[in-house]
Amino acid sequence: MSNDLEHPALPDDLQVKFLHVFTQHRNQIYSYIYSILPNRDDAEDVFQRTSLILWKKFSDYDDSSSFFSWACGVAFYEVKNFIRVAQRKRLQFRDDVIQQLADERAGISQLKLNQRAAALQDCIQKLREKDRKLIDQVYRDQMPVKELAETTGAAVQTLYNRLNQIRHQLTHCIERTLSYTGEGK
Amino acid sequence: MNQQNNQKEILFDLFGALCNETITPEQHQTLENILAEDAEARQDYFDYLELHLNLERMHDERPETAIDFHLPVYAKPASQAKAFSGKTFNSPQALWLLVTAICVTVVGGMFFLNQAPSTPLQISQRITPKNNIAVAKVTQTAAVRFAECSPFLKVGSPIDAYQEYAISAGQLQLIFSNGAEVILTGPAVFESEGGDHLAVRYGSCSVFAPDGAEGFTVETPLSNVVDYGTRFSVNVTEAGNTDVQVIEGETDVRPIKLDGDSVIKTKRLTKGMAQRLTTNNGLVVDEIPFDRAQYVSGLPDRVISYTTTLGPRQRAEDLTSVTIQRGGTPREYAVEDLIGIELTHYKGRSFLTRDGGVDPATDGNPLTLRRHLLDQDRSLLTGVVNPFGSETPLTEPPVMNEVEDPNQPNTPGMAIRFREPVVNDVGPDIVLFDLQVIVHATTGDAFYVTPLPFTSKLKTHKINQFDIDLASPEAKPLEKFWLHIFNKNQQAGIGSRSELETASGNGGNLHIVGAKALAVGIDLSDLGFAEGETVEGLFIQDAQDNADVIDPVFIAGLPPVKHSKK
Repeated sequence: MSNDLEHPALPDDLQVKFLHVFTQHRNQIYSYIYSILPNRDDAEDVFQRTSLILWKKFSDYDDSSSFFSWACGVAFYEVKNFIRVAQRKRLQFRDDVIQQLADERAGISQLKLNQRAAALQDCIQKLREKDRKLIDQVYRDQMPVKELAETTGAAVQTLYNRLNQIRHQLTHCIERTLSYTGEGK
Repeated sequence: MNQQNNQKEILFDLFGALCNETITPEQHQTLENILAEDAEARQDYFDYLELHLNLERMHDERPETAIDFHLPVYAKPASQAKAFSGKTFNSPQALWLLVTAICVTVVGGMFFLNQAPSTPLQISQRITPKNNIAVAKVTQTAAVRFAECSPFLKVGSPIDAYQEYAISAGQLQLIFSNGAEVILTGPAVFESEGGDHLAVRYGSCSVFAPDGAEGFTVETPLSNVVDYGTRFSVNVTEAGNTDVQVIEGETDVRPIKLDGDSVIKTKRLTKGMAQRLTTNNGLVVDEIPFDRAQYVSGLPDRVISYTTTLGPRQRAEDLTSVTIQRGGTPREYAVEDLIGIELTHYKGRSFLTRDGGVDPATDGNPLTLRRHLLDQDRSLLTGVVNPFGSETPLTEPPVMNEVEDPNQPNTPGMAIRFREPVVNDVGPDIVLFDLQVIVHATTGDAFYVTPLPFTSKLKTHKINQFDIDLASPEAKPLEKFWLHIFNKNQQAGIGSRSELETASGNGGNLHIVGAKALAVGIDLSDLGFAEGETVEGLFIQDAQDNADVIDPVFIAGLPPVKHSKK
C-alpha cells in the first residue's frame, strides 16, 4: 500500500527544517485547534490531519512569514472540513463563533501563554494534597472519572465538580501571580 | 456574591463541563451565546482551555511522547510508524535528538520562562507593608507547611511586625531581637508587635528567654504571659483557651480584662507550675497538672539545609555543603568531607544526566561510566534512578550478581558501598538526596533502606518522608536535566550493574517539568545498629506505594561526631 510518509515529498533539508518548526509550534497548533473544536477526540483527529497537510505542503510555506499563522490557516480549514463531514455528530460551535474564536486565538501572544504556564507550576504546589492527587489521577494517570468514582466511592458528579473547582482555583491563583509580578492578564 | 461574580461562576461551570466532556446541549448553547457576545468571556475561555491542556502537558512525562512526532502515528499502525522513523531519515538518532532538543526547549520554555530566579513567588502572600519592621528572624524550620494566605518563610527570613503568619504543620524556630528564642509548632497562627512580643492566636509555642530577654511577652486571646528569664510553653486552642507551663524560672500570667468588672489578678508561676485560662461566662483560671512534655526544647535531628552551585538559570546544580542537626547540634559539612560511595548493584529503569544529555556509555570515553552519575559526582541533577522496589521490606540478604543469573534473579533495587565504614553516631549518619519532580508527592517517594551486609540482627527501615521535602522552604529548584530510559524493556528495565553500563538507552530527553532536590538523613539506629557500630553499605528499594519511584542523585555517609569505629 502506498504511503506518503514512506516516500516523503520533501527533500532532506526541508524535512529537517519542517521538524524543527513543527516541533516548536506543535503545542500551539494543538491549542488553537482545541480552542475552536473543544473535544479531545475531534481535536486530535484534526491535529493529525493538519500535521500531515503541513508536512506535505511545507514546500509552499514562505519562511519569511510566521509558521504558526500559516499552520493556523491550514488548521482552520481542516476544522471546517471536519465539521462538515462529521455533520455535527457532536456539539460544535456555530460558524460565526468558530470564526471569532479562531481569529482571536491566533492573535494571543505566546509570551503571555508562557507566563501563565510558568505560574501554573507554582500554583499546583499550593493545592491541597488531596486536590493534587486528584489532578494526578485524572491528568497524569489518565484515569477515567467514572472509574475513579468507583474506586473511591465518590459520586461521579462530585469528582467533576471538584475538578471544576480546582481548575477555577488554579485560574485565580495564576491571575494573582501575574498581577503580583506585574505581568497582568 | 454580586451579579458579576455569579456570571463568572456560571461561565466557569460551563468551561468545566466542556473540559470534562459532560456538557449538555443546553449548556453548550448557553456557552456559545456568551462567547459570541462577550470578549472577556472569550479571553477567559482561552485561558481556561490552555490551563486544561497545560495540566496534561505538565503531567506528560512519558519520554516517547515527549519526542513523538505525530505524523507517522496518524498515517500508520504503530509497527509501521516505527519503521518510518528509521527509514525516512538516514541518521534517525541524530535527528530525533535534534527534534527532542527543539521540542523540549520550546515546551520546557513554557514552564521555565519568566520564573523568579530563586524562590517561587508565594502569591498567597498579602501585599508587603511599605515600612517593614523586622522583629525576629527564622533560624530553623522542620517539615513546615504554610497556610493559605500566610507569607512563606525560610531560614533567615525576617518576621515583620504586625504581619500575621500561619503554619498548618511542622515547626518554626525564631529568634527575637531581644534574644528570646521561640519554637512554634503547627498548626499555629501568630503575629508580633515588636522584638519582645509575640501574639499566639492559635497553636503552641515554647519560649526560652536567656539573660537580657526578660520581659518577653507572649500574648494569647485570654492573657499576657510575661517572662522573667525562663523557659515556658504556651498552648492556645482554637477557642482561645490557654495553657501555660513553666519549665524554669518565673513567669507572670496576666489575664486580660474581658469586662470592666474583672478582678482576676496576675499570677506568678514558677518552675513546675501550670495554669489554664478558659471562659465560662467570664474568664476562669485553673491550676492544672504540670506537663513538661509540652515544652519543645529543640527541633528534631534532621537535614536542615544545603548549599549548591548555581547553573545558568540560577538554579541548583552541584552540592557544596549540607547542614544536619545531629544530637541537637546543627553541623555543616562541606561535600568533600562526606564519605563517598560506590554503586555496587542496580536493577531498575533509568538514569539522569545534565542538560545536554551526554550518556557516559556513548561519549567515547571508556573511563566514564553511568554509575559515576551517582557515585563520582556532586551533581544533584544526575544519578542512577528509578531503582525497582518492593511493597514489603527486605528480610534476607539481597541477590546482587554482577551479571544477572536467570535461575537466581537479582533483587530489585540498588546497593551502595561506602568508601569507608560509616559509624552509628548521634542523629542521622547518612544523607540521601532525591530529585523530585514538582508535581509528584510532596513528602517525597517512600523507600526502604537495608544495611549491608545484612544479618538477622539488623533490619530494613522505611523512609516515608524527606526532611527537606517539596514543600520545604529549603528545597532548591534544580537546573534542567535529561532522563534516559533503557530501551531493552522499559517496564522490566535492566537487571544488573554490568547491564547498567552496557544496555542501550533511548538517547535521553530533556525533562520538561521542573524538579527540586529533596534530602533526608538516615539514622543507623533505625536499622538496628548500636551506637558506635559501623555499616559498610546499603540496599535501597522503592516502597512501591504509588506510581512514582525514588530518584537518588547523591548519597554519602557523615563523619563520626564522637564515636570511634567499633
